[in-house]
Amino acid sequence: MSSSVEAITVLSSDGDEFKITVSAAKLSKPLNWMLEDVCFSDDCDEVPTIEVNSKTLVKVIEYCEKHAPRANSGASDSDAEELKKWDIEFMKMDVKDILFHILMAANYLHMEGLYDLACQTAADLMKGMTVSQIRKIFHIKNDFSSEEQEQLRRQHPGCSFD
Amino acid sequence: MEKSQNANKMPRTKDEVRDRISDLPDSLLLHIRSFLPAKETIATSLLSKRWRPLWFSLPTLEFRGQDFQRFTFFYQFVDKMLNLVDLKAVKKFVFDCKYYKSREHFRPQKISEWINAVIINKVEHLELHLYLMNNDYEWPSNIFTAKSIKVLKLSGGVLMGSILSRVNLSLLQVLHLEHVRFPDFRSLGILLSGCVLLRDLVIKDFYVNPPLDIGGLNHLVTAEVPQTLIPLRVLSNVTFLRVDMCSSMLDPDIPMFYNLTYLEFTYYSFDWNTTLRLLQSCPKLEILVIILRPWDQKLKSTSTATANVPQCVSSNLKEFHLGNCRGRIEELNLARYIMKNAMVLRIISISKNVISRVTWKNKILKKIPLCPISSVNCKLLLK
Repeated sequence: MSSSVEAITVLSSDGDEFKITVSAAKLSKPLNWMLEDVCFSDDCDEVPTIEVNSKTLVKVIEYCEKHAPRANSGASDSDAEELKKWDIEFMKMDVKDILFHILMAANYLHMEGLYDLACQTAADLMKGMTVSQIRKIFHIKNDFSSEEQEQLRRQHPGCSFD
Repeated sequence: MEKSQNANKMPRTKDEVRDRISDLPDSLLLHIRSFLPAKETIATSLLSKRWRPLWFSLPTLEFRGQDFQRFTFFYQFVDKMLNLVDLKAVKKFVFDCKYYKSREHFRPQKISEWINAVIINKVEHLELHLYLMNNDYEWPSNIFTAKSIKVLKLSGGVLMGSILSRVNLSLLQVLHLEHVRFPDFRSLGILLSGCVLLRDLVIKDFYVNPPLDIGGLNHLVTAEVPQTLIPLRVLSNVTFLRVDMCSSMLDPDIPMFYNLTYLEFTYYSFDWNTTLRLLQSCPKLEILVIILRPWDQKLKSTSTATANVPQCVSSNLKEFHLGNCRGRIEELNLARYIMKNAMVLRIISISKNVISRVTWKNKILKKIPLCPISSVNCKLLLK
């Protein structure tokens, strides 16, 4: 690819166009490979599609752009501190809706930092919760029969189900 | 009731309440779970049929005998679990068993079998606490040739010297030994010499004289050891040091501790001169903790008037804690000395001796506030 290109255009799974800077795109392995393989110069009319919906892709790009300077150059501790605070704010999102998509996108785009951050956020939502509370938060359907349920209660007497 | 309500709602609001997290791949669910404490880890295995099989892939296995009413149940449970789970996934194995009653159900070969099973599957964190009546369980030799182990914590049991001839713990960074018997104490030296990357060493309830003849331990960062056992020169790189002192036996050569920021020592008979010598060897010290032994009868002379205040006291010391204080004049002199000379001190705390009377606080309170505190932002805490 031409080194003069600073930003690339990608399509979301909904067909919307998004711009992402090259340095930010490098945070994702598949995007990085794409940068190497596909022609991104102005006269190239092929726009790659990323299998992530628009709402999620906005967030993913926001994350990449914020983290790219640090990932590419390495930064001081105070920057790391600031970035941590930013991450916490960034992750304040609707569980039902966007967190699931962020988890999927981070997995699909091989983005280690976002992957850890999203998994940690999901885990934090489970901390201190009983089995039925976790089910409620994530809308997990209890598909155990009542006999199986009884057996599980016997196997894990120390666990709070309700 | 809640279940039936949900079932009724399902068709209408299907999209809104779709269980999306369960659609995620195993690797993702396992990664989420890795951020959870044990209790919620179990809870996740009880959510639904989707989550149930993940239970068998556990990175951490912790077994604590005190959670069980009977030793036999505990045994069966551990055995069953180790047969159920995927041992290759187990990175951390904790086995804690206090058993002082009759030995009829105690089967040491079974315990060794379990330990060997996790070692063969490349466990990285091995924590084994065995408190038995005669403390005669022999640790299996495989432990000391397990190259995958990074953290090893042993309590109780016996370490036979013969098995240490081929120590190979090349990745070990953390070693804690508590109440472990060494019939031949030189074998402890062999063990330590075999741990070239050791960063964190704790040895408790192990007293021998003379000290071990060992060198190295260049990577050591934190140490908690009896001073009679490990020569101070071996510890000179550490930043954290907790040490049991017998001043009468103090190492004549106190090395310079250029990195040390935390120093805690327990005295059997407090000696001001030794304390001063130590402080002069720790230029960067920020936190100093001195614990006096409750049965300590006599304090050696504590004339604190000396010309040279150690550098760390005057310019670095931020916290000073005095434990087991009885409010005697020598102890208070020590506190006064620190208060007067530590210019950047933030906290000074004094906690009382367990056998002191209730009037202790009043006694200290009467005396201490009258001492001048040189540092402007210093807090005084009495516990």
